[in-house]
Amino acid sequence: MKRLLPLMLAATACQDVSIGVGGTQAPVAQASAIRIQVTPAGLTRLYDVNSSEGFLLSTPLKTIQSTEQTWELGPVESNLPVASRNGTYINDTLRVSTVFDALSITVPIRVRTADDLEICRFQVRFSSGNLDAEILLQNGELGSTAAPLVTLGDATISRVGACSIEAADRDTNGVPLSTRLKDYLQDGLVTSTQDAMIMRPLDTIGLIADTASLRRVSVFEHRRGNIGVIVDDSTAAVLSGDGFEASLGLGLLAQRAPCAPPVEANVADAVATRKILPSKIVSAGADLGMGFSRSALQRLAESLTLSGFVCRGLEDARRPEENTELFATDDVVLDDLDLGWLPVGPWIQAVSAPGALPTVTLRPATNDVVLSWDELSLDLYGEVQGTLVKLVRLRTSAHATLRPQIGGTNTLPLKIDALTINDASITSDWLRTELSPEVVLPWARRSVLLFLEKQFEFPLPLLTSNTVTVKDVEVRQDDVVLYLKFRD
Amino acid sequence: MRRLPVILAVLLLVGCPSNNSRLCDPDCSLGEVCDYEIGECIRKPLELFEGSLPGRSVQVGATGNKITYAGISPSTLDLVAGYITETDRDVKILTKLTRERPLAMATTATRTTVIWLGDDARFRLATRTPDTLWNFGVVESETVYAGTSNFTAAYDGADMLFIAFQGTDRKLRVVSSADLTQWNVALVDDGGIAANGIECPENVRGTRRPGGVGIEPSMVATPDGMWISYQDADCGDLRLARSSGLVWSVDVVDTGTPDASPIAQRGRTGRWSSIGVGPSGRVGIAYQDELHGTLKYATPSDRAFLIETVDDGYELDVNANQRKDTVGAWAQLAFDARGAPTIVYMNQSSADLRLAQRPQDGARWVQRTLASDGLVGFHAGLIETAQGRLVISERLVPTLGIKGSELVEVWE
Repeated sequence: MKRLLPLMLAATACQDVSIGVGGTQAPVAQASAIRIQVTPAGLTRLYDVNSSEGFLLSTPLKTIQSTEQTWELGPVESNLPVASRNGTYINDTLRVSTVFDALSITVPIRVRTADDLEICRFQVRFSSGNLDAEILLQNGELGSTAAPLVTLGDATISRVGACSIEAADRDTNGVPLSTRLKDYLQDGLVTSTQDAMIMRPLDTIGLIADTASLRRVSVFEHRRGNIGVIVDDSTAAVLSGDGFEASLGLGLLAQRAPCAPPVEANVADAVATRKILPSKIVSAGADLGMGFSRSALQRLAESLTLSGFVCRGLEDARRPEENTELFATDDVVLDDLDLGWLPVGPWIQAVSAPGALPTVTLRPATNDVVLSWDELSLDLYGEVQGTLVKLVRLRTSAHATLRPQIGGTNTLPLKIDALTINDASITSDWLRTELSPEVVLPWARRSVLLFLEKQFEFPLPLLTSNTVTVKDVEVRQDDVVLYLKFRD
Repeated sequence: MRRLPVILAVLLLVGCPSNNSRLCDPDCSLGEVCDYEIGECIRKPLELFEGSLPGRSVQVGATGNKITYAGISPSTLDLVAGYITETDRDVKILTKLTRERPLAMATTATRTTVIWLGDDARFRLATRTPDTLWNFGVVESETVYAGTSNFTAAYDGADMLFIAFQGTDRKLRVVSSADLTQWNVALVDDGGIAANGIECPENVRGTRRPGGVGIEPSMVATPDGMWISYQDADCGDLRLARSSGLVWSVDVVDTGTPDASPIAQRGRTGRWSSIGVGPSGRVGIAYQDELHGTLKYATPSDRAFLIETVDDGYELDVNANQRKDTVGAWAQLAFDARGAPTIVYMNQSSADLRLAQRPQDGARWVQRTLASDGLVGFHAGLIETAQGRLVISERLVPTLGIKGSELVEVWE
């Protein structure tokens, strides 16, 4: 259930959103609404992310018989530092090479006799190490197809501390302990490589398919929203020379909040995301591309509106100095409206209510997004005689040009490049005279800008504790692609 | 400094006391002027207040069958008070203030007292009966106190006047007197753990401005003693202090409704509290849940409190969108002759004056808008008498600038 949280929280940018179970009719998913493309090099990066503490060598205990003694090798649990990983696609499989510099592994050995037990330690140092695994994709999961090839450099074996046996001692078959130790570690590396190569890329990225309902928590009942969400991964992912590619369906079903406009969501034609070119990912310096279709973004904006996520209000217990959603009264410049005597306090709070559903327009030529909102209502509250009262109601249509900002870590800020205001009207009991459009429009534009500029910084829709950087954003005809890189 | 001799010379030439005049020593008290002929302080004749009554800081109270009004003219800073009826008024200028101040009024069957805060943080009084002129005084006590603009006043059954106030140390105190000359100060609530075990964490105390306990207190005399409702602004709680003899006990009535979201982990309630006692002796408290913008009503029940929502502020607009108004500021509670609790309050989203009443126990609250012409609802007040009900409020008239304060009277 938690898997959907990042996707939707990212869309809402709200602190007051919670994930819930059930209570929502399962929506129908739009096919190919989300697309993930990971380059071969990006996949090795995902392996790095998956084993951020190093390569986990895990070997079970192995018993060897020598004359009058039993040697119990291991077990060994050790994280080995990886020097590099490389991924190349050859003959319909991905070959992942894990390269180590000199490897130093300590192996415990229990030396048992009929009536004694001695614990020894031997250090095995390999001058180099290379693990080559052939990777295939099955049911969304990567894994090695055959035993990985483990190539180890010259080995040096030394005893750690006092012990009654030496590396040159032989077992009952005449094989020296030193050989047994090398073979033991060789086998362990094979098994561990097989384990390490098992990975679900979508899990590692943090975007995973599931079904859930998302609720907006508000102390005002009429603003409590509920969205049913399904991310569908039934379309088989593909592993090819381009890397890993997955196409996900996205379904959203909004339960209308009473504060939302009494309209139905538009039945927009579903548009599929298009292929994300690996060369773009490489040139952006990213590990992967993540695309959202135009229709999915439109549907998401509508669902958030219908389910009350866009209704913002006074339900905030934070102190003014802690509350970033307050405006300084001076910034609102009420003087421009020629209001009457108005001894208003230092803070202005805004209550927003959408009167219509928003429209999302993608503009590839300028690489930006236009969010259009008709009948947007903003009520500005200020403190008069210690009483929070409504000062002004602004109704307008707003068209905001949003430019995605690159370089953000785990967030995607959208900068408002331009804001156009139409049909603005202001009503207030404090007005002295009717205002002309020459006064209303600039004031409305500034106020809407003040309100909106704090609304467009979204967390990346990934459930990951890793640092992910937005290297680039590409607005295309039918989708928006984020080029993301996991931290080096 | 070089100008000082010039100023003194001018004063000597044009000053009031003539060569034969005698200065009053000591200086005259509040409500007096010096008669330089005899060198004695005499009662200052009070000017009749002309024009429409201002609504700023307005207070009303019933003294026997008379209704007393007090308010402040924001343009002249005159504190005006007197008897009013639906058709007539006899209002005089009691004094001129140095700035706008809140007022409190306490009444008995025969006495009316208007209280305000002086510039020295001590309270001032003006008291009269129907048969006497206004008498003025200063609340002076051997125990030093410093009041703030959060105060209220009430007489008990023995005609002892109590003034409850938040001190500058952010604690709730009471100063009381039987004869209006000898005053005793007592600490009521220092913000510590309440008798019902609820506390405001130490790490929250003092973090808000304004903060502390004793915000917007309201007081009523009951047969059991004085009861004071007020907000703990640090934690956003409604508190109730009750006296039994000289001992005060404090309960937390309501801590508000917290929310699951990170921004509202604790409720914020208890603003604009108004406490009243009905004919049967039942006490009620009206107040605003600040976080939810709703009007609430609490009644004590054993050691707990029954809390109900009087007005949740929901309205349907013309587009059938459900609109949430913020309601409950300036709440004032009174009981009518039948014992029905009645609350007047402000709808802050529409700047309307509203009235809610529960006709009888168990019935639902019925709300209606009393006045919606202009910006009304500030300084709402309510008294219920045998003759009927008077609701008052300030209407702001912004186009008139700072003078734009009118009194709204609704007689029912």
